[in-house]
Amino acid sequence: MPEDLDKNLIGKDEVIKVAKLARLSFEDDEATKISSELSTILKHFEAMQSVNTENLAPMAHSMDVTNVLREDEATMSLERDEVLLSAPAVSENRFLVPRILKEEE
Amino acid sequence: MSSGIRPPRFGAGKGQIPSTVSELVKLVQKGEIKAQEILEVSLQTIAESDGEINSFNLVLHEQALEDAKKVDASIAKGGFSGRLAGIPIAIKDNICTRGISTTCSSKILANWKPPYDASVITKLKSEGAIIVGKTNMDEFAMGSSTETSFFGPTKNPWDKERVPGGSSGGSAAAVAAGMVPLAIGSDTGGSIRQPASLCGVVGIKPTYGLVSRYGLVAFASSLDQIGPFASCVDDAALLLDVLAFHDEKDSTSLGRDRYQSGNVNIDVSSLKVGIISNFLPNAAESCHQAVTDAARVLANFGAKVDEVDIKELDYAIAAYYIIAPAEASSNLARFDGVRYGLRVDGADVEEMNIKTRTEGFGVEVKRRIMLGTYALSAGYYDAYYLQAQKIRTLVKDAFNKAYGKYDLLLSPTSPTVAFPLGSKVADPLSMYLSDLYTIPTNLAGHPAISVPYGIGEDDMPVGLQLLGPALSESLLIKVAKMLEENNTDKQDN
Amino acid sequence: MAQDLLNSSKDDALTGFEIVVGLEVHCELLTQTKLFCGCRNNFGDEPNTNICPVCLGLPGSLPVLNKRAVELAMKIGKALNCEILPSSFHRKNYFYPDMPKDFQISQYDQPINANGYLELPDKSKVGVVRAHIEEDTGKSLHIGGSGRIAEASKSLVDYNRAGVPLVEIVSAPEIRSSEQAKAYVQELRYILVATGASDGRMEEGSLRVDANVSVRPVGSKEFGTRCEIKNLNSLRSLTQAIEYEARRQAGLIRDGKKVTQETRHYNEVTNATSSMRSKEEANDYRYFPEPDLVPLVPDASWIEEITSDIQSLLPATKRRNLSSLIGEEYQDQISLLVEIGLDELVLDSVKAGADAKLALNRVINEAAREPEKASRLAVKDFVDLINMESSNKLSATQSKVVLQEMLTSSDHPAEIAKRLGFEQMDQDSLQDNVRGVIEANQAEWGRYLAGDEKVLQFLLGQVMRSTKGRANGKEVMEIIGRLKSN
Repeated sequence: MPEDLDKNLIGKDEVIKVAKLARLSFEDDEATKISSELSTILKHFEAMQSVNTENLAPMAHSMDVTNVLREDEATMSLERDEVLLSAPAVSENRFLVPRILKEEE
Repeated sequence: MSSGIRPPRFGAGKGQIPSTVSELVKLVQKGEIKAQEILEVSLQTIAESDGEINSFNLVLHEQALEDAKKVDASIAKGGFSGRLAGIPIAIKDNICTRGISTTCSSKILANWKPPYDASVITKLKSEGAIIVGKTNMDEFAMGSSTETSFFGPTKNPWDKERVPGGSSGGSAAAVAAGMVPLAIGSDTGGSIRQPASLCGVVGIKPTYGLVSRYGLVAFASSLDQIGPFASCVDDAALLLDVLAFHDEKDSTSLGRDRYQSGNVNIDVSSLKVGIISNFLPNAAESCHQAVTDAARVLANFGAKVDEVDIKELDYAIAAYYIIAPAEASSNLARFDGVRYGLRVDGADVEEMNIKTRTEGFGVEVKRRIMLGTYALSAGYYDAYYLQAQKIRTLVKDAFNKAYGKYDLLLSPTSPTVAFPLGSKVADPLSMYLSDLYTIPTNLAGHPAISVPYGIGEDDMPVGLQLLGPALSESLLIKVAKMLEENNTDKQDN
Repeated sequence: MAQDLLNSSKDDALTGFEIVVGLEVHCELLTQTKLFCGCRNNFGDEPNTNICPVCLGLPGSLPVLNKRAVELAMKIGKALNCEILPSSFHRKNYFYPDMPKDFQISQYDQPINANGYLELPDKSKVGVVRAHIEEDTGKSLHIGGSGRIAEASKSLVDYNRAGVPLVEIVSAPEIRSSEQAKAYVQELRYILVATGASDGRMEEGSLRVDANVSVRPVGSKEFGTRCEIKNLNSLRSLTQAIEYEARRQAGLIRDGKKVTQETRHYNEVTNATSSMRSKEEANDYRYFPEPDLVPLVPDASWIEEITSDIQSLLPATKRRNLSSLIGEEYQDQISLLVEIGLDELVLDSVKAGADAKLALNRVINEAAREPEKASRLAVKDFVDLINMESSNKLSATQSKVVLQEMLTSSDHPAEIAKRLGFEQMDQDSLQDNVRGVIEANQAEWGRYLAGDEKVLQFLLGQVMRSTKGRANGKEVMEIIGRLKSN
């Protein structure tokens, strides 16, 4: 596996960077494995890159629907207690989370 | 290798259950059979077979009994016209049910009970359907074998050493094993049709927007559609008819009027059918054979059948494995340990997020989140995501060009019959390729139906896929029914 | 360092430099409900009571766009002279606990409004690059330390604000001073209130300003490196933060150091900006089209229906209308009138025949003290009052008292004047009165006759006192003048 590393489209450094964006963490050997798996997948689909798409518009929606709007009228909100019941941690009727900024070193 | 044995249909050998849902509903409405009795058949079959098959994550004994009693009561009181009165139904576990756990077969949602019902659930209840339980699936619908479930794989009822397909493997298996007559699943790249094919049942992926997605836990929002499973085309069509309604809560909902305007009155003798020829070379012999046989039957009815090479479809899978993971990476960001679901503590929010997600998601889900995050990230967006979106246009254009010539297209649903458990799970790419024939439809937003057609390798069922342009469900159903009636290996029990 | 920058005079520190500012103003829209769900858009409710599957980002939920929010956004666009365009929504992806989906739905490369400008009272124009729709986040309460995020040991999140509709108005980097920045935000605030898009309450966070500040040597065409100062929630913070930041940057450049592009926080207590730890260290938002929302393509008739009355509501229009009627020289008073919303009272009164200068003065000096009550004055009654004063039926003092009464009662000014005994004195008794005052103040009268004009005011005051304000000042002056020449 290690000798394949530089052939990988997505190197281990990239894996670590992407994992940070996605809020995931991988052990060293997992990162190596993911790097190789993702590279294999992307290489297999590489043919896509050679398709001439110059005159094609990118498609975000398959159906041609526009202007779907709702009237500005209030509907029932959820019962707070029901919502907070499935929260991992609650205090003062709010969702409790640990400190947002990291401790200064 | 072991071989398949056809499992019994719902109610077979258990009292006077007719073979179609519409007949059963009539009996219920007339009071000739009670919803409670039907439910009893369902629960009994589940008790007998599901220990081994594992198609349910949760069976709702008490709630279902209560619901069945309510239906019986309203019928006794003077009639109830619900189109699914007293019919037990299984719900894929990524569709929200109020107060009833909805896990997506993931550790991260293992204990989550939504405070609301999906729009399709509200609809099914109002039509008198009895929700029997929540079915197993690939975690967050990511997979083609139901093996990535946190709760362990579902087995194929025909041969318990094989996969049922996926990701809606639990729903397909529950119908195939006769535990329920109907089930709903979701299809993002083939997740209804492929397991339907592998389990020998009917599955429909409706036109994007025909069925409300409100309450369906999103995998890839621009591709996901909820659709029906049943053991015959009529039952699947009936369930689709219930599921197709306009929903103000889903901005992409199309509304029934557009569905009903579909071309229902085409005369089969003037039908033009295209076989997607570039799909055939890598199909197993039996799958290829099913297409050839179906073509012959259609031709006998006077249809004009041609082979058509739509080479653009070959790029669909690459585009799909960029677009679907990209959307998924964003859709699954919310599982961060703050508001619901699993939390693994950390010193600060970021550490808590990372620990929660790293422990809560399985390998395949993490792989796709990584792939999608990468495809959207700065420097790669144009090469991957944008290019994939353009390929999507290419695929849709190619389909529409074909539909200028043909009323519908024909292909195998899956390249092979059900494969052995564990045979692909370590090789993600080979797993991805099992959706080769189903993915293009999702990219285009078109409907497709998988209907059992013949028995293939190792006596396992083979599925045939009929594809049509947007909102052509009525036509697809009509032709599928014709093929079902002329299936060389018709179910006879 | 902060102290040095504060003490050094503005001119010293910034000599040779030009300030360049671009502002991003987030405006909470005045809708009944949130942007994508029917939960109430209400400031100050009990925490987590206005939440539903959609704005809480529960799995399976889907957004549906609020029509009123779109219409208010179009009004804002029209008011800022923007093109109103077909638009779409994107997802801006980053993790933050007050953002329920861990992405924000916002408009990205296709905003609903673009290419506009804002004209300030001094007639300068600031470009508006775009004004797009997006959703607000929830609010965090920081526990531990001083309650500031950096020192907190934990935070509590309330999602009532999550999903509240916002329009983000992005100016071009065309603002050249803190005063101009203030004028821009003030003017923008009037516009947002006038169009009904916002309540304009900066203290409640209805308007939140981020400032992009840079400096460059005078005459330079290139922009310097900018810093973004987040969440300035008062006009005072805005001007002080810009000035502090500009001086800090100029100081760095003068010392041969480089300005680092970063997000900074302004502290009102220390009156200084400081580097903020970034929310997402690597800012890669991975924007992509929101698949759950369809494109927004407003047709011409809808745009027309919603925006046709906007021009007439704009402060610039109102100022123009008034100054063409009253005169350019009253620019400052006119701006003030428009600001407090009493311009129409003056405009309509003058059109109905009231003396322009008198009407302007009475409104600015008296009515403006209670603008809310004044805005309810009947134009006809006000015109009658001004006419009574200009035809000498009421003295200035009486007129002011009657106007005060009119603010609290709906009676006609003539009735009020009568009730207060403000019927004008006849010439004879007034003349008697003046004579009496002269009798009683012979010394002063002598000085006046000797040419000391300053005494006139004293005599006038005495007459006013003895008539209990019923005398008309102008007439008193005339009588005194006649008596002098006799």
